[in-house]
Amino acid sequence: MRKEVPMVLTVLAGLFVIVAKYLHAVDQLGWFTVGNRWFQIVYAMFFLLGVVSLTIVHGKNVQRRRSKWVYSLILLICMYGYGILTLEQTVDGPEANWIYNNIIVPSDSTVFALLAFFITSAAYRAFRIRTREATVLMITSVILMMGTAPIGDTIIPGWGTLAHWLMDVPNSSAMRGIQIGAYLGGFAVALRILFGLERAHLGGAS
Amino acid sequence: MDWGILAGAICTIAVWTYLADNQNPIWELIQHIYIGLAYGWSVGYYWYTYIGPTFVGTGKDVDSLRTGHWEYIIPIIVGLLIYARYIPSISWVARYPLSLVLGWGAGYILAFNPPIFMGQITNSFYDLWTGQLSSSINNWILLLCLLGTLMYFFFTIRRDANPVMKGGVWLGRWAIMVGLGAAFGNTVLYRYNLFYGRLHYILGDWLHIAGG
Repeated sequence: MRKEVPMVLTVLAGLFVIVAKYLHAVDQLGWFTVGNRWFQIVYAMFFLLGVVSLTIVHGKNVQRRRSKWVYSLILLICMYGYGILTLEQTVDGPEANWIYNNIIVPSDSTVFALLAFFITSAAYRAFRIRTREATVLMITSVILMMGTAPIGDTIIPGWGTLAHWLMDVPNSSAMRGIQIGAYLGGFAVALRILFGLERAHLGGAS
Repeated sequence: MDWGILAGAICTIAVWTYLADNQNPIWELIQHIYIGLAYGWSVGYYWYTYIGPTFVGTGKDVDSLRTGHWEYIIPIIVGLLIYARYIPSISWVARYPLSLVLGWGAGYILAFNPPIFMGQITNSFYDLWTGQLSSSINNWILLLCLLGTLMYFFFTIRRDANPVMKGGVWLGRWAIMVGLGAAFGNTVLYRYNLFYGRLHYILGDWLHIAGG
């Protein structure tokens, strides 16, 4: 009941998609469209998971006056306050949109921009030329960075052409190989789930 | 004064304080405000994109509970079972919706991914003599690097005993390094672009001392 039924549900849900898609007679009945709508509704009901988890973690921080509990309180006020505001006036409402454009978007892009500094120090560690492979990695990324920025062609004419060739030929074939490998891996995992071999989601080992 | 730009500039500088000290109070404050607002936004977004249309509909053409589609009660209840994970005595009930979602995803991969996957394979049959030397050489490189990369991921064949495999894996390793180098270079450029964007925001949009 606790593990067997969910496993059967997993197999049935997976088979339903395959049958609804590949059996022409079933496809004609439009079951896939209906099933897809049901799936979207089930999935959409998960939308409060993050909010509930944050409320539990930070609610306990505030309740037990743990260190830095004031930040937890601020987080809860922002989350519920802004949640209620967006529910009241939609995410496109005037105040909701102002907060989104002037607080969320600048913070978001600055956090991602911060990674520029960390990626530079990571590059220093990764590119200390210790092996021939690391040398190739370094040379490729330097050629690409210089070739994409205007400075590359200014220093050495034709640098940009070399960068584009690297992107279009060796890079694209390696990435295609990796993609094909990833597809095959995805297939293998999907088959394992359908055959009931993958049980990590049921709380147990595979 | 544009209060929006001022708020954005304060947020930007607050996030940058992380570079000086990753435990400073300004960073802690903006971090918690940002996470709180982002989750608050997701509530409104999911409500108006998925939940609202299911319950009350957004127009005449959208089927919903209001338009008499009472069968939607079933997926709604099944979906809500996920919250049982917060009640220890019945937390196992949360496996039901999770299993359905996982099974549906697995079936979806098996049913819908082959066209994309097969497209990648059929597009890999390169024309090895195009009539032009340069493009023919490019196609040869494309094919050999692709085969090498694929060979690199064959773990079920002994590499050292088979000279073809050995050569293919060697070539594949170099091709993968070129690919990863290119990916790294692109990522670095993208991050620096974002950083310049923030600098432009502070120096141009806010302080009006640089940028056009």
